Amino acid sequence: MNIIIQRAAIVLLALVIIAGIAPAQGGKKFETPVLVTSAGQSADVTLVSMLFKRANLAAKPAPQAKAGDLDNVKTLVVVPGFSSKGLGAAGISREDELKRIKQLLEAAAAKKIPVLMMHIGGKPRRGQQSDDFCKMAAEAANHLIVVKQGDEDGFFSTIAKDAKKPIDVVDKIADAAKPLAALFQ
Amino acid sequence: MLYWIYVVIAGIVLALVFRELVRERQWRLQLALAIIVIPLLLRILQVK
Amino acid sequence: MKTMQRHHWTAIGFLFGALILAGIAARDFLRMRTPDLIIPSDGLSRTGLLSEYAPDLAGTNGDTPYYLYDSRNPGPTMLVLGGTHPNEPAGFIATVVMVENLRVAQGRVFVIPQACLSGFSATEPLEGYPERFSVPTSSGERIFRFGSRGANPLDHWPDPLVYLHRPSGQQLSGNETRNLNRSYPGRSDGSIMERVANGIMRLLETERVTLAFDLHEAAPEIPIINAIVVHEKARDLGGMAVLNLEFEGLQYALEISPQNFRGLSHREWGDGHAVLPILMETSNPIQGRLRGPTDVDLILRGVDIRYQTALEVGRMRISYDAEGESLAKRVGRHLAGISAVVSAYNEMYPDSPLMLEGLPAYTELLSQGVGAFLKPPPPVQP
Repeated sequence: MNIIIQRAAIVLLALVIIAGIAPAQGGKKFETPVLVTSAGQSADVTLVSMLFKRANLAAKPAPQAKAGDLDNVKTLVVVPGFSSKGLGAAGISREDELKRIKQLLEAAAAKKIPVLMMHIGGKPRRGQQSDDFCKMAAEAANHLIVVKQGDEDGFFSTIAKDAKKPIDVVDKIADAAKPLAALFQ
Repeated sequence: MLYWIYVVIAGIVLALVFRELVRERQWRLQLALAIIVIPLLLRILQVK
Repeated sequence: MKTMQRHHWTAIGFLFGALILAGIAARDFLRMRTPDLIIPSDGLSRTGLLSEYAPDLAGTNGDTPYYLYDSRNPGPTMLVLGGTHPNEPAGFIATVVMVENLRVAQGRVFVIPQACLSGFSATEPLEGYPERFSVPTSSGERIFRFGSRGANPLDHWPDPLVYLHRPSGQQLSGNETRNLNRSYPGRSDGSIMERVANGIMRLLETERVTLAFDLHEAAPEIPIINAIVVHEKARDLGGMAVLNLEFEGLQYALEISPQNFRGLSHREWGDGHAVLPILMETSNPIQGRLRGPTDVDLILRGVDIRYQTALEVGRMRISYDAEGESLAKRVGRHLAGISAVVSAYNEMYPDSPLMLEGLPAYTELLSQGVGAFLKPPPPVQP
């Protein structure tokens, strides 16, 4: 009986140790080089690129990235948020932008490139115009980082919960640097 | 040049309104014509 | 001779009444031509008129004053424009606060508080705007005009049916011909706003301005509010400034100037010169379409009953602070934005920084009000 209990305890201990290690091994999904693109052409992609720079992570901003730009990319970062000025600056329609993002995310999935979604624009980058982009990016993402103001209605939290995806909700843009660095450690 | 042409047009319209104001017998229409004088006069006099 | 009939007498009576009404209205309209009082700080080096850079403006209602603060220490040159749209008071008042408090330790700063000077002499028809508003100071009230979005029609009449922007050929609604922020780069022989735009471009070129700001406001329902709009050259600068502002608890959206929307300062300044253009927007309830009573209180406190009601019944799809968008808050945002961009510039170019002093912080404006940073009015002469 004692031997049975001893063996059970050893197996239990081993399981606990494995369970402790496993998340650390499974958490490291994201690697450089990173491609940062916009979904909706807001300038938030510039701010995200700066966050990567401050974290000393190699990231290439490509606001209008296409499937062909994914060669040699280890992580795709999508920054959703609609901007009429941004679309105007890019010279493309909202429909074309939705199509571009859809094709890019499909290509990333085919190449097994993990997707990180970062929504940092807060309330101004939510609403009727932005939410199509937000939904597409969130549903395709492996991990979400969201500034709290953009998730007051639980839009991103609900998507993450339903799909059992990890989500980091931060108070402000600058606070996103910490979970970002942790993901790439 | 176009500015002064429009000022002259406003002057002509003002003169027409004034003529109708004097000829009109119904006081309600006279009141309306008198009110129309105000912006025309202010524009001709370069006030507004 | 025709005898005077009854309708002749009524005509004379109504005409007399109309002339009295016209006289009363004229008194108000002419009062709007009284210049606003701006009292520069001790840091002022010199003041002048825009016609120094564009002689065709001399003697016109577009010839607006500039204020120069020259530290005499080598450094970059900055231009700050307020009053491009005179119905956007926070931009104008932010530059007045600058003029009345600024000292420059390194570099130079040009401030033009009333870029569209003509527009300060008339309000926008059919909007019911007040003609002036007053800000209480330590001793007395400072009174400022509240103008219209574009130049006074007396300075450019008639509006064309379609405004053709030169040199791009872009077509806009005819009344945009009086909008300074659709007139860049301007022309020396164009409309009054094109001539003002040309004058500002000449200033940018002659003085080799490095950083240029254009301060604006917009209705709460406009998507570009509480935003910093940059030419693509200034993308990184704008991004750094937005992140710096986040650390101060101020959220701004970053927007890039669309290349195919011509005539705007953030596009044409950057395309035409080496300057880094920055346009900033705050949220101004008196410009809103939903607004209730349109009065001085709405300018100063920014609390609107209709927006409040929409917020309470959950029909608000836009950002609106229930505490209101006070003038102090909006002026504070503009000055904080300028400070953040200058800090970011100094980080990027540490060998040639621009050092500004005397500007109040956002928290100081919120706690003490705009009036605390305006000089009291001079005593009235007996």
